[in-house]
Amino acid sequence: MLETAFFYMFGGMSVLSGMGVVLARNTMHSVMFLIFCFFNASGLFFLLDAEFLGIILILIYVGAVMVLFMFVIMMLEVNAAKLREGFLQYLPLGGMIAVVLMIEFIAASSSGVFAESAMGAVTHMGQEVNNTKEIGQILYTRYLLGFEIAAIILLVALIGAVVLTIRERKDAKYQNMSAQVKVRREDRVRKVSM
Amino acid sequence: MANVTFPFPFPDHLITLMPEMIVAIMAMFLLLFDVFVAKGSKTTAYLAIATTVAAGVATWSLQGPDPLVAFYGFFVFDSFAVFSKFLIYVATALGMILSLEYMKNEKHIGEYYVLMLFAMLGMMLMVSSNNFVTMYLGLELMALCVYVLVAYQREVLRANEAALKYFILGALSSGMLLYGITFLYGVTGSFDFAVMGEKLAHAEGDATAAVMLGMVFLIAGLGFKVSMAPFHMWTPDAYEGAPTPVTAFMSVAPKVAGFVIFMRIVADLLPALQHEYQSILIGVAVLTIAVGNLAAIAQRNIKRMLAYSTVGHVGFIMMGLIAGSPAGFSGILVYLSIYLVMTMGVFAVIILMRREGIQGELLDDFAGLSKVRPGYALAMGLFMFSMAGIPFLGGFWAKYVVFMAAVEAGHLYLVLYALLFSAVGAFYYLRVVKYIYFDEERVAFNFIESRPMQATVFVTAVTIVFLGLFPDALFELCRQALVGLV
Amino acid sequence: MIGLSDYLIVAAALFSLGVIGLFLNRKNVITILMCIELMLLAVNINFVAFSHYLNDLSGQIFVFFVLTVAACEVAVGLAILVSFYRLRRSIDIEDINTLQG
Repeated sequence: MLETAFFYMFGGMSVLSGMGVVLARNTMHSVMFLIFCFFNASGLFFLLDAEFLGIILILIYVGAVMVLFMFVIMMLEVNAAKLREGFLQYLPLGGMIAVVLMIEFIAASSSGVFAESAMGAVTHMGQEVNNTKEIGQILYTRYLLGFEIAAIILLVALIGAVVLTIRERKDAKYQNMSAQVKVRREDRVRKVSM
Repeated sequence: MANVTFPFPFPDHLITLMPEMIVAIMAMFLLLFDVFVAKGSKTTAYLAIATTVAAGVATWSLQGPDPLVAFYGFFVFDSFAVFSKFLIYVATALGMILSLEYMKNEKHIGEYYVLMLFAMLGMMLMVSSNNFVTMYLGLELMALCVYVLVAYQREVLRANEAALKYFILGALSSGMLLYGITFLYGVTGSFDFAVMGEKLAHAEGDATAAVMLGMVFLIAGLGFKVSMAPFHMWTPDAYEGAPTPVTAFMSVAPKVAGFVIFMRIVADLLPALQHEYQSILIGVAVLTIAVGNLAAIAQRNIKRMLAYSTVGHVGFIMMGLIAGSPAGFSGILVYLSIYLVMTMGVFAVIILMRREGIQGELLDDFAGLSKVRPGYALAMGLFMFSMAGIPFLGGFWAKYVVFMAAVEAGHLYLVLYALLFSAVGAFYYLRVVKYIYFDEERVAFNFIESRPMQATVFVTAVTIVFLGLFPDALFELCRQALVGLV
Repeated sequence: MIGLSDYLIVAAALFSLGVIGLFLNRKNVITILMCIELMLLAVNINFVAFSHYLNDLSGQIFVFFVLTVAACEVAVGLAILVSFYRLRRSIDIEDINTLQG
């Protein structure tokens, strides 16, 4: 029973805060709503016995990604009023598409295959099962290739972000490594005959 | 829970991934190496080109009669993957050769080649994947690199805009792709194409809604990556805004990887749903062919024109998917190979024409080319005739094989429709030829003199003529590449 | 009792909200990025729910990868946005009209 109550709380809150993200006037408020939404989704993950992902969602998303969003919003002077021009203009079209999609999604989501009878009984893992350990065990064996590719993707994102935003300031002093490497002894040491 | 054998059979896995390892290690090495190279030096670029060659050699030395599988079935190395990898190596190497002069004045040029190598790595993983995990990660690795490459000329506003649009729509399409995958996973409980296909064949009636939703979103997400209409909106903008060598690269290599994945999915995952996916693909193909060929007519910028022309070609390639037969699949490989050669050749000529202030991008810029540089004019004319599908050049055979496969599979009306639009398409290709041969020079030409690029134009032009006269070897190669897939 | 379908419907609602958000906030790139994050969150809820009810951990592993990739996408997307802002002094996406269409 308690589980049902928690599901409605987390699920309802995440949908409501999702609405907040979409409708908020101020971009910063949208970010706050999204953070709240992530917290609630993390609660849903806990209900589904995915503790590790629940914690990861908060650590990575709230702790890093959303902070990055805030950072960028603060850095760019955004004219909120101008950005909301034509906000309602697309409401009929967007709303219509979303309602049609929603109906299809719900039809798919409540297909008979996903009914309780078809999925078989699910029991919650006991306290002795460690979700993090189990994920670790298959992540570093069966899914090792994916793990390695994910590492490369992170590297690429790092390179990409640096390449796109680095600014070479004129007053800063840079090392010219190419020149340093090419230096020969004759350039630095001069033999003086006494 | 996980039945894993210890000790982990590491060396075998790594040998199967030798080409990928070479590319990954070299890309990381070049990232460090570039710091120590003088500004304006092309050493990094040449090493990157050498890396593609090394990967090709490694792939060649690994191939054997039997497909290799590594990392618990998450990576396959079959003849199909080998063939598509070679197409990707060629596309990447040519893209780098085209960049040598064009990008030489950019700052931080080392990372440009590193990102190209990583994009190539992503595509190599994609074509070797037989499951959604490797496919998704490969796809994203490629996509992230390409977003950055499009925006590489930071001080150019249109490059930034193009990258922003491309990125937003790309991220959206990834979301749709993933949402589709979740439902297919929910029904089948696996990410492996073959296992999922098996389960879908036995799926019960009450799973239909979920399976259909999953399939539609999967096709939409992948369709975006290969620019099928109505998911092609990003194509003209990204093509126009990106640096021209990047345009050349992204108009070929990701299409190869995307279609290869499409073929694997159609062959392994969706055979049980043949009727459903065929009707979706027919609708999309009808739209794609029309949009591509009609919109191209209105374009004055050759990069935008080629973008819509790509959309048109994608529509023709889809006919092979719709046929769904071995003939259709080998037709796709033939089409992709010939399309690669033609497109790279055209972009090489466009880049050679770059001059102060003018980038050789408007159709008017080509006026009178034949009088100044008959060689380039001849090559450009050949590529245009080939793209239009005039016999007997490479492009004719590309269309011929996919159309024949579609006819054999009983889609005669679709083929007639495609032929009609193919004739419409001939109009705008031939218009370029008209500018080159029959118009007067308007602006003084000033060409980039670069031996590697001139060689590229020469080799691609000769290849197109050669393939037009002797296409049988390529047909046979593509047929053999399919052994094991269908 | 809460079943699989209930979780899927929450996810469906979040995904649809993301789609509406894309239409409503056509001009604000940052909000568009957040709407895409919302859609990816829906995907993740789907995966975790299926993973739980199928008693198969691979769905959770996939979420792990989706999270990684989504974080990378945000980093690259915001980098492109910052680079765009420096030239344009605006993040208004309808300002983006140098390229028609």
